[in-house]
Amino acid sequence: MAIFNLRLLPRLLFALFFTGLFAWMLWEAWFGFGQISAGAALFPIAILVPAVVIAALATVQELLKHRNSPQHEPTPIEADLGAAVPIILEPGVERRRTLVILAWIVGFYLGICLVGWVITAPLSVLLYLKIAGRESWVVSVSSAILAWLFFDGVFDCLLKIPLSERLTGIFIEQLQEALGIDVTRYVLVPFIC
Amino acid sequence: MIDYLDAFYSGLLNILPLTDHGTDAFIALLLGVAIGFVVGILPGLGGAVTLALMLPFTFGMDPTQAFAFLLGANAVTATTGDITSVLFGVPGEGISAATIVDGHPMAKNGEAGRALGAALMSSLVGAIFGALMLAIAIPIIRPLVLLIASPEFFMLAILGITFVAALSGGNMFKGLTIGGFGLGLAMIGLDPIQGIPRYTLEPLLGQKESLFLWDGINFVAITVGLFAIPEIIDLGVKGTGIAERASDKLGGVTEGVKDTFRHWALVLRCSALGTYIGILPGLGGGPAQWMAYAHAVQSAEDKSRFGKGAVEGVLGPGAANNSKEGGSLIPTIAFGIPGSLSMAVLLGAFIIQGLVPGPNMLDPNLPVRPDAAALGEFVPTGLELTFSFVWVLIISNIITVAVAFLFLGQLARITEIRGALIIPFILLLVYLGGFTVANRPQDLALVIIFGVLGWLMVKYDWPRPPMLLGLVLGRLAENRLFISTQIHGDFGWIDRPGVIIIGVIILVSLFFPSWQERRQRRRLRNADSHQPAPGAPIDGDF
Repeated sequence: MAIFNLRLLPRLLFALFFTGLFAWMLWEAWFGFGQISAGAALFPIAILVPAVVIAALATVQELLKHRNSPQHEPTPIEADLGAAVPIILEPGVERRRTLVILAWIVGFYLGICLVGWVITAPLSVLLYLKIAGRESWVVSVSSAILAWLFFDGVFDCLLKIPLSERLTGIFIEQLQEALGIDVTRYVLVPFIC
Repeated sequence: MIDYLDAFYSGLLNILPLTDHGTDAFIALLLGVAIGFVVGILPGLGGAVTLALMLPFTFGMDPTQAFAFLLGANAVTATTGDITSVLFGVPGEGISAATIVDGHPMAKNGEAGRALGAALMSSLVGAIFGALMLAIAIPIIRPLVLLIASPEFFMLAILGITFVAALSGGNMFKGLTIGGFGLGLAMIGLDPIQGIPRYTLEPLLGQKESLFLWDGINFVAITVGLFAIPEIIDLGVKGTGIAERASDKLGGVTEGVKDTFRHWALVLRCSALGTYIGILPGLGGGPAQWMAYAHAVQSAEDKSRFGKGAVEGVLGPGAANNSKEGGSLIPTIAFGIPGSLSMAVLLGAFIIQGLVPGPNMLDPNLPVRPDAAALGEFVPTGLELTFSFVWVLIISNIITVAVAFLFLGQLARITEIRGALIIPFILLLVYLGGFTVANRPQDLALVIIFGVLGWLMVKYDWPRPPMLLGLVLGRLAENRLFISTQIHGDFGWIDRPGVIIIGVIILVSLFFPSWQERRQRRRLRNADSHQPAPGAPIDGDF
């Protein structure tokens, strides 16, 4: 008897996620907002009824397809469209590098949330190039200055996209309250505007 | 006919620096071409990702400028992608991979210049061919579009999603599920008929935080997250530079240009093939280049030269991957069914500009945005704007090829940029792109959520294009379904001949690929049972 391979569980859960999501959306359409307005529920019901069935079929197919697979093969890293050359890496190396780059992606986001866009843009470029890219100080610092001039100078100052105003950051907001001055808008941004 | 010729001429004037608005559009075109040029050369960043990243910057532009910018960027990525393919054996674009097969061996044989000359010139011919096909198709397709009413438009939206779902990724159920997911995302927010909040996650986020979902989900934040974040992860995981080898000295470029005209019949046939594949929704540039390559091999007398540096192997894919741009614009403009992933993203630009694909885009008299025209702004007619697309394709490729010929040697150096150097800049650009549409900090979270989702989709072999299509077509489909049920009753619209015909096409597009696959499997099984014994000579070894 074939034993279910636990390493395939994430694939199955991913497929199940869509089935569950569609079922919840259908429930909401039928018994939630559908009770207030039938017109609002018309399109969701028309689409979600077949969608639940199809997602369930996709889940079953995923289960049957990989049920007897001896082990999970390393996935070629390739985009489905616009892909470059598929490269096969050792699963351990791929996992470690993926976690590192994911941490950087989330780190950039947290940086924006905590200290705001104006500081994060040059700082994140400097830290990434120095730590992840192992670039020299000259390259890292000059790139950080370039990032500051480009993102804050062009987009905030010239194109008037309210980066310093709307993406101020929690810490900077508190600092501004404590000091009583607008650190990013009146101190950092005008410095390059 | 005079209307068409007039619009064709006005379409050109609107993007040339002869008037104020023409100058603005021309500058936007040059900017787009410059971005597309660099992106095309850099491996890993595709035309669709570029379009997704550039979408937020079109908000302040008028329709002519916006499309000159976006189409200009998209039209040249395949052309410059061939440069990287030839020089380094690494495709600058997924759609220029076939050029490697013979282009890179030519470079290794010391014929890099000839290969590049052939690739660039055939690309130019292909692009012009595709653009002219688009221009010719417009008068033919207009009466067809005018026959279509709301029920048929609803069915066409479903057909578009079905086509892309059935053809992308090789797994129909997964494709349809993702298409449904995209349609589901389009349902988020206030419903367009009565303004009832739907799926705004109020119990989870709280009343205040859920308000940002009332306007619907941010299309651009999702697109940049879905496509750009996986590319960044890919770049980070590969951990390599863009190119591993330095380029050699170039020479023989003129010879490559002459090759294009020596093999003119092949170049034109492959251009026609590319245009045709471009028209078919869901196929995109990938199959176009390989089918053109296969045709170049099949039509050559000496097949043994292919794979070792045959110039025909460069000319065929070069022409096809550019001509398909004009082809894929035909269903996008006429029916709102994108012919490729890039076109699906471009449909987002239609939404941003307040334009609706279909009859309005082919009307020679009606301004494409009557509201803006009433305010005295310069607004072209639908047909003028559509013809300006034709001219953008032609002019952007002429500029690109001219610049590429001038700076071929220096251009090759761009590919030597280390991946680590560009990752932080692209990442910041991604967050910026997600933010600028509505200036809402919450959209940054959407970028990450859909970025991770996009990465999981790539990892677990789920196709992403159907989701984008569902998201883009969702609101349109809902409006058309509502109008259909209001006019014809709940199910009265289903027995219209147009609806039945499109319904049959949907069923065929659903079942034909699996039937074809089954037939192919049966053939392979039969071939296996007739296989010669081990050690016996194999016939027909290519």
